[in-house]
Amino acid sequence: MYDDSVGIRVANHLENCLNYHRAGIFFVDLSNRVFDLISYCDNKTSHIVIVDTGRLGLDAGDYKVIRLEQARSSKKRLPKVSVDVHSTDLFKVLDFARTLYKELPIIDLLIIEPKEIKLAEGISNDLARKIDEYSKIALAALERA
Amino acid sequence: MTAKKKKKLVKKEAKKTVKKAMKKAGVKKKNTKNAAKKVIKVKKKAAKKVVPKKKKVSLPKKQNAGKKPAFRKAKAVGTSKKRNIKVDVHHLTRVEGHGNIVIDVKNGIVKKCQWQVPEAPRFFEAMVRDRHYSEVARITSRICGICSVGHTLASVKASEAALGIDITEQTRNLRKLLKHAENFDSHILHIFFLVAPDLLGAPSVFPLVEKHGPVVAMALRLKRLGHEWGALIGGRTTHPTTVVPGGFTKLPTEIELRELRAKILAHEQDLVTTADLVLSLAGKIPNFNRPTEYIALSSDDDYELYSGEIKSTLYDGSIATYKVADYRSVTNEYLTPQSTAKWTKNRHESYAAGALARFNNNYDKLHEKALAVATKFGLKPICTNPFMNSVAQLVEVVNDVYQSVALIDQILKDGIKDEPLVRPTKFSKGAGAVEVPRGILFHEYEYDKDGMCISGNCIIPTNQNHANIQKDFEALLPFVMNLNYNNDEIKLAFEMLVRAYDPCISCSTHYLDIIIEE
Repeated sequence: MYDDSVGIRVANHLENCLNYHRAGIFFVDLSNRVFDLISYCDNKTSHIVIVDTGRLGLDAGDYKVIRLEQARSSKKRLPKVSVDVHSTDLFKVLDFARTLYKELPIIDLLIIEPKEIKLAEGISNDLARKIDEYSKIALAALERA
Repeated sequence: MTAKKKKKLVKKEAKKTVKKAMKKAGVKKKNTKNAAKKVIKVKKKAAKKVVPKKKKVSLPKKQNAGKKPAFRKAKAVGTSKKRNIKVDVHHLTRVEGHGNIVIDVKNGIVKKCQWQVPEAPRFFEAMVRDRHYSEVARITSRICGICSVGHTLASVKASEAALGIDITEQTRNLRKLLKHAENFDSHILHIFFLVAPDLLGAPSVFPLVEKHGPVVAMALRLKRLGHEWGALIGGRTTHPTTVVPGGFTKLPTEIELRELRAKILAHEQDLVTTADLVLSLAGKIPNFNRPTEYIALSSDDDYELYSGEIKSTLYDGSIATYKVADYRSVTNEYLTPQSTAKWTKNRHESYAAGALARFNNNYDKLHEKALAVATKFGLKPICTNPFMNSVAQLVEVVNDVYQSVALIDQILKDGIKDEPLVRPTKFSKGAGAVEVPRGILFHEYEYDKDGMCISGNCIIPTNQNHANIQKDFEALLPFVMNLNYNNDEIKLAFEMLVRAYDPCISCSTHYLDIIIEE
C-alpha cells in the first residue's frame, strides 16, 4: 500500500534498527486488523501511540501528533450492530473498547501526510528519509504523560 | 328431488354449519355468504386429500450437542403445501466477504434456494506470473488478512516442491507452531465474535458487551495470545515475513520460546471457561444432518494442519486418499452462474472442508484434552451436522494449545540452530497443501530455469465449500418448512448455516477466464 506502510516501518525500525527495548513497551503491527487493537486497550495499558497516514493538508512527509479526543472519523458512522474484521473504522473500534473497559488508555495519533497511496511495494522518498524521525517522535509521545 | 331443491338444501346446511362454527368461536357479526362458500370449498378439498405413503430413508446417526432439539416446534404458520417464503439476505453479515442467501417459495413450491457469491475475482494467480520465487509467497499472503499464514505456508510449500527444496526438521516444527497460532486466533474470533451472537440472540458482539463484558474481555485476551504467538514465529501478526522458501529469515530465541510456552499455558483456565460457555449454549445448535463427504490433510503422525496426504471420508465411513500433487483430481473445479467463485466436487456432488472435516478424518490424532472436550459435546466421527463445525473449531483450539506446547518442548530439546536457507535443486512445477482454519488450501506454481514463476493456481477451502453450502441449503429448506418455522426463523437458520462454515468469501474468488462478446 506504498506510503500507507509507514506505520509498520516505524514499528519495525523502533524494534529492530534502533533496537529499542524498554520494559513495558511493545511494538504491535496491526496492519489491516484494526479490530485487534481492542485487546491492547485494557487497564494494563497506560498509553498507546498509533502511527498511520492521514490527509491533513500538509506537505508530503510532514506530520502531527494529536490526542484521540481531538480527532473524528471522516467515515460515515456504521450502526452499532455491524463489525468488519478486515477494515473497520478506528473510532468505532475504540468506541467498542471504551464500552468494554469503561476507560481507555491515553491514545495519541501520529498522523503522517502521505505522498501517494497505491497498491505497490515500497514507500516514497518523502517518507522513507524520515522514518528515524517519526520513530523518535512516536517514542517522545509515548513518554510524555 | 329437483336440482333447485337440492341447491337450496346445500345452502341451508352450509348456513347451519357456519352458524355453529361462529357460535363456537364467539363471533357475533354475521357474514355467512362468503363463509358458506369457504366451508363448501374446504369440504371439497377434504374429499380430494390424499395421504402420501411414508418412505423410509436411512440416514447416518444424528449428532447433536444438546439434549433438547434446538429447532423447537413453532406455532403453525401454514402447511408446507401453501407456504410462501421470501428470504433475501443481501451481503450476509458476520462472515468475511460478500455472499447472498436467496430463498423464494410460492404456494409450497421452491422457486429458488441459492447461496450466491457476487465477489469480484482477485486475479492473484495472474499477479504471481513473472515474479521470482522469493516474491511469490509475499504476494499470495495478501489474499487474506486472517489466513495469511496459511497462504504463505501453502505458497512456500508449493514453491519448494517445484524447486526441489527439502526443508529441515526445525523449519517444519516452527512452521507447524505458526500454523497452530493462526488456527487458534481465527477460531477464537469465529466462535466468540461471529457465531456466539446467534446463539445468544444478539445481532452482533457489540450489544453483548453490556451483559457479557468479562466474556468478551476473555475472548480478546485469547485473541491477543494468538497474535503474539503468531508474530513471534512469523515476524508479524498478518502477512508473515520470516517464512521463505528453504527456511526462516529470523528465528525465535530459546528465551522467547520459553516465554511463549508459559504465556500459552497461562491461558488454560480461559480455555476451560470457553468450553463450558459454549457447552451451555450447545442446545441452541440446530440438529440438522446431511450425508456429506469430508476432505482434509491427514498423516499417521499428527492431527495434521501442515503435512500429509489428502484424505476423503464419506458419511458411511469409506475412505480414499490422494497425493497432494494430484489435488486437481480431487477438487474438479467448475463454474456455476450463481457464483463468481468456482465450485468443486469429488466422490459426490460436493464436499466439505474445515474443522469438522479435519475432525472426521483425524479424530484419533487429537490431543487427549481436545478429545475430552469433544466428548463433553457428544461430538464424534462421523458427524454430518454442518452446524457442529463451530464445536469442532473449539476442539481444535484446545488441540492447538497442547500440540504447540509439545512442539515447543521438542524444538527446545533439539536446540535452535542457525540454519542457512536450503537452495533450489531444480525448476519445475509443484503443489503444496496446508490446512487453514476454513479447510484444506492448495497452491501450485511452475517456475522457469531462472526461478521466475510461469503460472500459479490457488484453490481455497471456502470455494471448496460453496457447493456443499448449496446442497445444505437444498436439504435445510424442506427441513425447516416441515418444522413450520416462520420466515424470520428460516432466515436465521440459513444465516447460521453459512456462518458455521466460517467462510472467507473474498479469498475464494480468484481468477476467471473471461470471454467478451461484442
